Amino acid sequence: MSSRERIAVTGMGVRTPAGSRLKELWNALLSGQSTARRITSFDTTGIGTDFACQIHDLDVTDYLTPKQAARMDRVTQLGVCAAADALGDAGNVRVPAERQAVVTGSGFGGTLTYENALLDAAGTGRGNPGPLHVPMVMPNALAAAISIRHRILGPSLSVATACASGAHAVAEAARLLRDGTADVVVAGGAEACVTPTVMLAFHRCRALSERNEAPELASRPFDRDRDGFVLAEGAAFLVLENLEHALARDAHVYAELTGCGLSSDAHHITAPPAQGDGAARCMRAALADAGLGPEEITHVNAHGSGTPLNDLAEAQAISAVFGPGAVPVTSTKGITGHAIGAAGAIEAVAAVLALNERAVPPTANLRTLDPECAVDVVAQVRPMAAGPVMSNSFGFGGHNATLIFAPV
Amino acid sequence: MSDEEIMTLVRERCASILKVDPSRVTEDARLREDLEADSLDLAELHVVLEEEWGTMPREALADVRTVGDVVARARELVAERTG
Repeated sequence: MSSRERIAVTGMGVRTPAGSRLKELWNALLSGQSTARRITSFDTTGIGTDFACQIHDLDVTDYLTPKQAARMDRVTQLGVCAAADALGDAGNVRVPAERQAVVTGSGFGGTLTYENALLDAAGTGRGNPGPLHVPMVMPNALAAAISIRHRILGPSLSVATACASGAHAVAEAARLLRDGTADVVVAGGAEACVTPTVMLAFHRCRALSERNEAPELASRPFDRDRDGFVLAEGAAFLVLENLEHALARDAHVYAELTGCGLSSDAHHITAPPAQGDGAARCMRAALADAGLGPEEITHVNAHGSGTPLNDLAEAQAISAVFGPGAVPVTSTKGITGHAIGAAGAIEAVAAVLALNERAVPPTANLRTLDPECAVDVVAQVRPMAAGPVMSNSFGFGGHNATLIFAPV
Repeated sequence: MSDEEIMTLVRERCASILKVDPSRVTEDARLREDLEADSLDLAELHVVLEEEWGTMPREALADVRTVGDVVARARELVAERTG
């Protein structure tokens, strides 16, 4: 290992269908109960899938004035709340504002605002956007909102790698810290794309589960009877900073971010390559970055979307890297659903919580492991030794990101 | 549309866009100083007034200072459109 900067996780915040507090999320993960429910926020007639994992009690009043909230799409509101909680959790970072940075990830940006502007004027050949449309739909709106709210004066930027955006945001934060550009980075992802058009679009590309008769059984990663993912919304942010600095200021250190691996499938816009080649290269890159052998990883938080193709390719990749059934694997998406650009950040938080609690949460709805998946998927809460954990995120487009967190 | 109706409509729209209590939207309330309006708020106000009375010139609200100024501009507009 070189003498490069070590990175501490000192704050975390979430808004998910499974909870808006870390403890609440952790308990929900341990429960193994899916949060998928029938959609009541809009008419799902003709969409083909009528359920999702949604946040029903979003209350921004402690975070935003009514006017600030009116100028933000739901995706930004979710992200601002999660980032504020993460920064609050980290405490006083004692770093000049110019040395602080923010990196956000989102697959879509301000989907609700965009869709409403278009639907509002259906048939006219153009939408009916308000003057706030552009600042509300732009994919970087969340990075801007966090920078403005917390007066973060260093770099602020957004990344878009579909379902891997949240993980890529964390990896970009690591890069900013390692190359000396910033001393504290708040990084994560947000998504709020449970809308009629996005639901229909995912349904038409055959990605969504159609288990309308039993939504709570629909998200079943690695199960033989899985039939697609369950769309979700949410946000999660982590505060990352130099480990020595964190210890010097007596911060609570949840974990060390020791490895980031990034790769591309360079294969197909939605389908993974045979044997999950891109995913395997990504995990190996993260292990190399962390200076770890596969046998040292105690737990893998899989991308595990619950689509037939992803889970098979990911299982093959995990098996290739670790050996068949050699490492306990779980997918958070059984419980939270798939929050697209937020997923990688939510699962990074889940992996860090697992590391702290020394337990692998179960994969919801795993009744019969797909016999094609030669991996040890955890179906009941399982204790684990203190050790490094890995979190995988793979996006449409073939963008892959793997993060490794280790106890300090 | 009567002067009073125009006044009521403008005040409602201002309160809704500026997210302030309607009681604060008096005729002599200053948009920027008292009601914290910024350029985007004025752009929004422009659009909702257009939705009510049709297209206005780009600079229609360029020099309004108070709620009363907006009401006066709206009255001119209504007079033009109906007169």
